[in-house]
Amino acid sequence: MPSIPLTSDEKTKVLSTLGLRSTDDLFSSIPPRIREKADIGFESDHGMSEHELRTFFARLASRNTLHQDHFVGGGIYDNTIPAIVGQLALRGEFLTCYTPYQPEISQGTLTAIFEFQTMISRLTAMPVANASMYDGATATAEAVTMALRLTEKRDILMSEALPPDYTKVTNTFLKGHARDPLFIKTTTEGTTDLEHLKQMLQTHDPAAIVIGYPNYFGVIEDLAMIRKLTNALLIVTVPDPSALGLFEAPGTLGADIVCGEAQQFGTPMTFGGPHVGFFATRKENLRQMPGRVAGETVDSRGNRAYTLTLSTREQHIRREKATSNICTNQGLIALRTVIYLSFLGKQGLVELSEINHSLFEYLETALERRNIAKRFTGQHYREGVFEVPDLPARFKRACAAGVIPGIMLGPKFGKGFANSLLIAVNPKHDKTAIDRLVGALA
Amino acid sequence: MTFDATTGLVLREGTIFERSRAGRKGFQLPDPKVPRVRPKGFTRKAAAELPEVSELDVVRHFTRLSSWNYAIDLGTFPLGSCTMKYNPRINEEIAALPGLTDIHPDFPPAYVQGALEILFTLEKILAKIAGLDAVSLEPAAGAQGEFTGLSVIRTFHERHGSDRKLVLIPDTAHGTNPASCTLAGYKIAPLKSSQKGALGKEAVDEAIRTHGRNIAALMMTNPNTLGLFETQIADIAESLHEIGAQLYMDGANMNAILGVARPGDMGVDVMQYNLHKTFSTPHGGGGPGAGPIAVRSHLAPYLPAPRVVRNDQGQFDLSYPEESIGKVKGGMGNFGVLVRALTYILHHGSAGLKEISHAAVLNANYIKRRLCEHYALPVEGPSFHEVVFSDAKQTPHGIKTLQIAKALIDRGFHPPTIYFPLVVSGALLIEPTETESIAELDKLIDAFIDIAQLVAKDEKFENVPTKPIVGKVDEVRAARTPVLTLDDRGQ
Repeated sequence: MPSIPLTSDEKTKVLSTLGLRSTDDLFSSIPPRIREKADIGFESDHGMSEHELRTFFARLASRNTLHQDHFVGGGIYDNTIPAIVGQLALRGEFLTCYTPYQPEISQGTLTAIFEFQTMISRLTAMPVANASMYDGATATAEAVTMALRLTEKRDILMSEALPPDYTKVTNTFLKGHARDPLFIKTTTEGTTDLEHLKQMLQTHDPAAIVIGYPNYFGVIEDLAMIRKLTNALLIVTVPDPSALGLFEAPGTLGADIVCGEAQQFGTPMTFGGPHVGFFATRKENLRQMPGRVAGETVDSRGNRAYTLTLSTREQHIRREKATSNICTNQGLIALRTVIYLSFLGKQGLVELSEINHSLFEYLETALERRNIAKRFTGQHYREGVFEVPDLPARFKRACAAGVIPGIMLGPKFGKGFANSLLIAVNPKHDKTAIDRLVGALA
Repeated sequence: MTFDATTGLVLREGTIFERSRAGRKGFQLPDPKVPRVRPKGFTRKAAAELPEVSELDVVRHFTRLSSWNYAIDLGTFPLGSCTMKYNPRINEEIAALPGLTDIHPDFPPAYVQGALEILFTLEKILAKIAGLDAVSLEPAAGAQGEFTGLSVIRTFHERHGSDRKLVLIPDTAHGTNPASCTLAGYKIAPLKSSQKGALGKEAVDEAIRTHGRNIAALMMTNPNTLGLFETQIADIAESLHEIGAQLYMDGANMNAILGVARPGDMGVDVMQYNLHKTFSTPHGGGGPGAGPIAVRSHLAPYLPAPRVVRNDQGQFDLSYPEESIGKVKGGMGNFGVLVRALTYILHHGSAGLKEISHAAVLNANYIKRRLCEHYALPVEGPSFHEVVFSDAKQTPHGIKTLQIAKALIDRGFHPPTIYFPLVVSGALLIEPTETESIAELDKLIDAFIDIAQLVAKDEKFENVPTKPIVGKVDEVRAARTPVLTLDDRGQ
């Protein structure tokens, strides 16, 4: 047995110490009618060797077709990951440690969490951030439930232009509160319709308004204008925080809660997880914030030290009155994020943002030249919806030519989007890759 | 007697920001070979103050940080109810295959057949281990599994025209259980465990007499957090089912009963697994985990969507059943964690999983036997994979659980779970797991005995721990004047 070091001599000795004949006797308190049925036999009764596992999974991995290029985004983005990210994050001291409840022997993890909080705070221009959430979708849902607690109001107004997964997960969370969100329409610019919002505000006094920045269509919303329209809590969810290299931080524009997804900062797409959600807010909301936080303090010798703090918000102390049920979060992915952002650095983030933006502008011009136009007219960042005549057939053709050209929005947004393709660029692309995409689609 | 902890060369280090020098560039991004342009509106005025450091700065900084952590790779980690077993590295190698990492959940199903087959296979195996009918792999962690399971139960009751408001929870439960109830819209009614530490059928029947059909479910952990098997669980399930209520089982302690007892045979309707506990995916300093749920067939229609299905031609696809509760997490669950868990399960096979539970329970009982003279056992009864002691023998000497825990650190061990479960005053909950050898357990046991003997001689253990890079951390100050980012310093 690969992971059981017990020798048969040791087993015999321990059993005799315990006065037992066999390990079966350890389970004698289980009622026989339960024990007798416990046959879990599955295909692989005796276990595979490492070699067999490699063969088995290599076959499965090869059944996933890795195309030469893909332009799929929508909240999960491909990126080039520095070699040191994976190697440092695989150090056993990070990989195989626990939640840092014992601060004296967890200073490494705690320091990294403090750095993560600092980076998220500076990126979003919000004063406080937590140690991570599961992903951008659950972070958004937690923001909404936090707004309900803070305001004790009923209604939640959500932009229609949020990533569909964010909307679905928030819906599931709201059902626990017996609420349904109300949706704000989208304009021809691809932004949240502020006229519709104004109308809704005449009849509703919402707890919060939820806006994507950039939104699912890759469009930058006018947060400052939205802020002027309402005193409701403004939740800004950022599925693509690389935008914050070029575009103004939500905290500067009046957001009350800024959350989102940091996967692209050092973590592969991995079919949707594990990724890492982030969550930042104003200081006055701190006591209602979900999730763990690390704080700086001193030790018994007067040296700087870190510890988890403000845990009276959390489930292990507050139980049913906790701000969330979250316990295990995405610690190791938060660590990857800190390593990536450290190496990318202040100028690097601006450059990353600029590369994405420039690639998209080039793509847009090239597609327009082939009569494939953007659906929306607003300010885009790295991603946008294009109207491709006869999309399903062209999509298939592009895939056959080695390019997954984006996400077909028909299945997600209905008939009006039958020819709408959401195309995202990333730093793995260059002029050649985009020319190839344009050729494949035109 | 020698112990494992010593003070070697440990290097001090500030935060990464303290290595920063204005104008230094680290990572080189690829050249996109297109004209560089910037947007005209909405632009950021001041760049985010990220550090400006070199590659070597980053490597040294995080390597130094890592040396301040205790980890399974360094020594025994007997953290009760957390199952800190060794994380086989083949899991990491498999999970890093480009064919498994470089795939997007929005790729068309035809191009991710391998990933869908992995999900399909793992669902089937987890259903078998549970003795239940259907599995959702979407929940990101145990607590999210609880929320998902409770949402499934709520939706089931709603569709059957029943508006139940209460979930029963025994006093030995993890804190996530009541917190998940609140999130799912339930009020909780606490249940008292018996003197023997288990949940009696009488307590449940009493609650049923009081609350009747207002009870949506009972959430119980089995084996419970005292390390005891809930022997009356099947009868409790019957009582619940008579009034249409559901039995939810917190599967945090599944490492005790793999291949020995199946929740489905206990009358359980829903359970969650914690793959980062039972199936060896690394805890990573607090995640990521995965908390799949398994359900009986009557609850299957409500599981999160999409579901992975296989058609007659053997092709995998996604389906979106109408009655589903919706999504609880973006994408397809914590896929990378699921891959590791499947690797581990296939590495051991079904026979191996059974051996794992046998060895885990044997190890816990070995510790119990060797320590029971030195530490008080607050509950009697046969222990499974973990054993709970208390500080009752030490408190007359003025020593409490916290000091015992910190003294263990100086002896080279991570402390057990302390002050949990709440029903035991000064609890020390020890879970050795099957991956520790008897030799390693003896070292841990000797350290515990050493502490107990010193306490008996009135050693006061002031200022423990002394050996880590920091001494006892001032947690009161951290909470009173929160410094949560670098920018809070000196404010």
